Amino acid sequence: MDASIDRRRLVQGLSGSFVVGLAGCLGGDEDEDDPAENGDTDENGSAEDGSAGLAYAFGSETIALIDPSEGEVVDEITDGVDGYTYGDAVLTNDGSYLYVIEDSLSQVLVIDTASREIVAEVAMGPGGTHMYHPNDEEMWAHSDDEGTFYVIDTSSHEVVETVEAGLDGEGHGKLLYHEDFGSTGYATNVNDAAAHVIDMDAYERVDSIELGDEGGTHYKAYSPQTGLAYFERSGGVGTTAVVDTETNEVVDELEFSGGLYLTPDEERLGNIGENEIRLLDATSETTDEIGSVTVEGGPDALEYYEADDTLYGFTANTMTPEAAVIDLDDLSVVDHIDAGSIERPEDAHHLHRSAVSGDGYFFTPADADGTVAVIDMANRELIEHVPVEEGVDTVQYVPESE
Amino acid sequence: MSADGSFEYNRWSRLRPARGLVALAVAALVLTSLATPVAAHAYLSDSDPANGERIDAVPDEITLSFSGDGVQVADATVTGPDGADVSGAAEIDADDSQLVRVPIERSADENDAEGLYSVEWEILADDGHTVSGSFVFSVGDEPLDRDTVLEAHEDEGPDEDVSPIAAGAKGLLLIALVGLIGAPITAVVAVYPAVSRVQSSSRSFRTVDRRLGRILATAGAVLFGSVLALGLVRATSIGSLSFETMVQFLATPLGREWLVQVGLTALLGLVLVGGLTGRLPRRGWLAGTAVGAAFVGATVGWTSHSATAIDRLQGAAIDIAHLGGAGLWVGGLVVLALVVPAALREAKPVDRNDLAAGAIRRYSLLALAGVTLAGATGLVLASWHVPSLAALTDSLYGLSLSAKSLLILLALGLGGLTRFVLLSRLAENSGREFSAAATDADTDTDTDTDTATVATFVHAVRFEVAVLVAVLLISGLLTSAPTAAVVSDGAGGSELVTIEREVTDGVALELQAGPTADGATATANETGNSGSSQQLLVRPGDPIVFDVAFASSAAADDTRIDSDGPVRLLATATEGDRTVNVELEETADGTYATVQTLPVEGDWEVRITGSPNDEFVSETYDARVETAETGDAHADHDGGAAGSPLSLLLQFGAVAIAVVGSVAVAVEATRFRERT
Repeated sequence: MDASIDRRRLVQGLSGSFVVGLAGCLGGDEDEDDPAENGDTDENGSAEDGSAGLAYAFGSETIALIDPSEGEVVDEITDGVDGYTYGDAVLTNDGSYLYVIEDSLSQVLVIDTASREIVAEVAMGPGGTHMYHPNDEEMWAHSDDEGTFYVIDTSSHEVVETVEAGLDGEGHGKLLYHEDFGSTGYATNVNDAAAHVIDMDAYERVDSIELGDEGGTHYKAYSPQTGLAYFERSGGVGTTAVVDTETNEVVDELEFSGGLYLTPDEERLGNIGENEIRLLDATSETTDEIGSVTVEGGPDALEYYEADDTLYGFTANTMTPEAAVIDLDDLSVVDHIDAGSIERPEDAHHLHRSAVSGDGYFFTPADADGTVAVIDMANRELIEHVPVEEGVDTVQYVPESE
Repeated sequence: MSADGSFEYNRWSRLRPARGLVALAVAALVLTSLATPVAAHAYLSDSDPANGERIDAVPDEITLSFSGDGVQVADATVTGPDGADVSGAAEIDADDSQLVRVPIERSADENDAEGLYSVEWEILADDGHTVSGSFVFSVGDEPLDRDTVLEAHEDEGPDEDVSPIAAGAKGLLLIALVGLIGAPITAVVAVYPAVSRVQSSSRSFRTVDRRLGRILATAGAVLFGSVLALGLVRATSIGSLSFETMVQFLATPLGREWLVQVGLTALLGLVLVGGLTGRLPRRGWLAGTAVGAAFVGATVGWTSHSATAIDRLQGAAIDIAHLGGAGLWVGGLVVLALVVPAALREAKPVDRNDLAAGAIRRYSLLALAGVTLAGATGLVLASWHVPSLAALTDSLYGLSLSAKSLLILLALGLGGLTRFVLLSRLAENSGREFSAAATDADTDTDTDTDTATVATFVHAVRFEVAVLVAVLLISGLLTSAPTAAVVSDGAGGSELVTIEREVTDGVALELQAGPTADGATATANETGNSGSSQQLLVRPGDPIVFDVAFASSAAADDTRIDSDGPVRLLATATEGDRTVNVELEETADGTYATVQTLPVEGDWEVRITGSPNDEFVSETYDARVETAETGDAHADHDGGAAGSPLSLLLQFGAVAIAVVGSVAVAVEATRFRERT
């Protein structure tokens, strides 16, 4: 790719049509470091005092640190931040570093959460979107332009290995990993109609599970209760392939697509559809549908919160400036909270709105307003529209010590 | 001061012409110093499409913009992606001779039109020199080809190759002109008056006539031959020598100017024939010869570097003045070396000292004026064409000028010896009889003081003549080569800059980048294990080849190592919002290359990533994009020395020489009048 580009235009493009093309996977994918989706509920470690309890809002010129309890920006990182665009932000398990993909310069920024400074800029391939932290020592950042993972050592902040996951050397991709898999991981790629089996110790693709002839693979999930892995068939196929991770064989095909989010108790899977959230039984070998709830306004980015023995789902809407709160036990929308507006390009077919949660706070950026909505999940109320730089669409929260 | 003040008045009135001369000389030199110095000798300064440019569609025409001289004849070939010649006949703009348009024949199939186009051009410039070069552009998304870009850049910039025939012919032409201008004037002003003052003048007159006639006839023949040779050489720049080529050449302005030159030379020949056969009076044919030679010199000056690049009149005037000054000095010296000794032999022994001293004294006045004129105008020319001290060694022009300057200093030393030492001795002994044998330079047996003095004088003069002939031959080379300003201004720097760093254990990354504006320069910041940090200097918009190789860092092993992952280049402007992010392509010789332009001026960071031995490496390099105007490294090269310290120094020197020389001439003239 020859990319002599105006960076500001790139930012505008990313906030517009570019986010559309990958059905909600660019500009920071909150689900990738979401332990629920990966079936791993204990990934984030405790942070030091420097950033614990603060949310990082990544802007092109400024990284703002938000104190959710006060609903205000308490610090900013501007040194070395110049026209940046971001992919996933992932905290190391010990909470000492926050890694964030910065795509304009094909790099991963390493932020020392104690000093709140960028301490390293790690080169990677272009088109970085998603990043994973499968073990304490490594961050796996995926270069979509190369279909390759760049494995970064979390001690030296250097790329120590590259793993070519995609078959054609390109394609947007994700990584599914779980302690049940041992050193095996599964990679999706929107260009490949297969789930690629990755030997994460040998740093190589060792197999590909054929899922059909057309399309690719995108979202992924895993149910520890059944040992089944789910791979969304993208590219117009509109189904979800179910793979037995013991045998790496396809055992089922579900007639829906979209993101899958495992509940904290690992018994249900939330599936985001168009104006609908479908709940699936993650303990069933046939992944039975429990039910669904209509959520007007284009739900996206499902975050779970449990209170009073009830599981709630918080989702940030793409078509309306609000977040919806869903009682997942009753399968009903119980609340709407003002969350601000996102950019909606006229030619957009799909929109994406990121969100993260932690310590009872739900964060979702409103890039059109230049704010980050901070919501009290317990009281289901807006704490503040925290003003940040316009165009912020990536937020990550550093939890308080557990 | 006398009581009535008459003495002061006389001296004042005698010096008045001298003051006027000084004022005129200074004014002329100041005016010429104010001229905008630009580079002579045509060179391609711009084109549309530009070198390395990517455009969406095939243009209707290619525009070539030249700086320095205008274009007399232009030829260009545009080769399309399929190797076919897609160009029409190149045309020189009727209103602007520095603009050449090359029409493009459009492909019927637009898809076929996309790809890499190369433009090869050759022009005959106003100064008669052929300049050629090439560049590339692409239509559509076709990336620029590394080898083509490098090849084009090697052709870029002035070609310093000089035809030895042209340079030799030009040198002989200058020698002839200097003789034909200076010899008659010296004969009339210095030799004949001195001969007329001695008793045996009639025999001496005949001897002078005879010797002078031979010298001028020889010079005339040399002039004619060199003019013919130069014209033929220039005609061959259009095509192989033939009748058609000559017709084509004569149709150009340069050809017409050459015709005028030939005509004037022929007229000069007629004058010489008339004089030598006694059909014209002595003063008449001598004056006609000098004037005719001056006119031929004017045609040479009219097509000189200075005339075509600075200003026709101003440049030609300085060039002609330079030639005239050299004529008075060197042409006169030739007479002194070859004519006067013969006249001395014919003169009575008792008259010889007076004859020699008289001729030398009068010639000294001419020589002083000539040296002043040649020196001052020479410095003006140098201030126009030599941008920096470095240019004196970096170009053929500079080297030639350096050699010429050294030889001139040697000649001036010999002239000083002749004027102040030998002439003083002759003056002291004036009226004493000395041996005729002493006038023969080959005789060294006479031990008489006068004999030795005259013999030394003749030897010194002849040696001085030899030195100055060498100077004139070098001047032929100087006027044939592109000036140092052109070489500096249009220099392409075709060498790739190589930066090698050990990136992992046993693996070195070798980055070759270029063509750079001025190579790579070490910056103040030195890094530790990466060796010295270097900064690439490039021009905005220029296509730059980045060539990356991984190899064993062991000294004895230069085995190439493949990259197991893509090799990428990410260039980021430190100020501003521009990035270039590309994957390099593997070349046939195992390197990874791309051709990119860094479009924004200022500092850039260039990052190279790759995976030699399956190990990811990332290296960062500093680059600076600057135009010749903004670049410190090129400040001295700009605009052919505009405002450079050396230029100012040379102009100051020119004015100083003009002032001091004019005063010296005035004082010498006053003394001479008082003596006579």
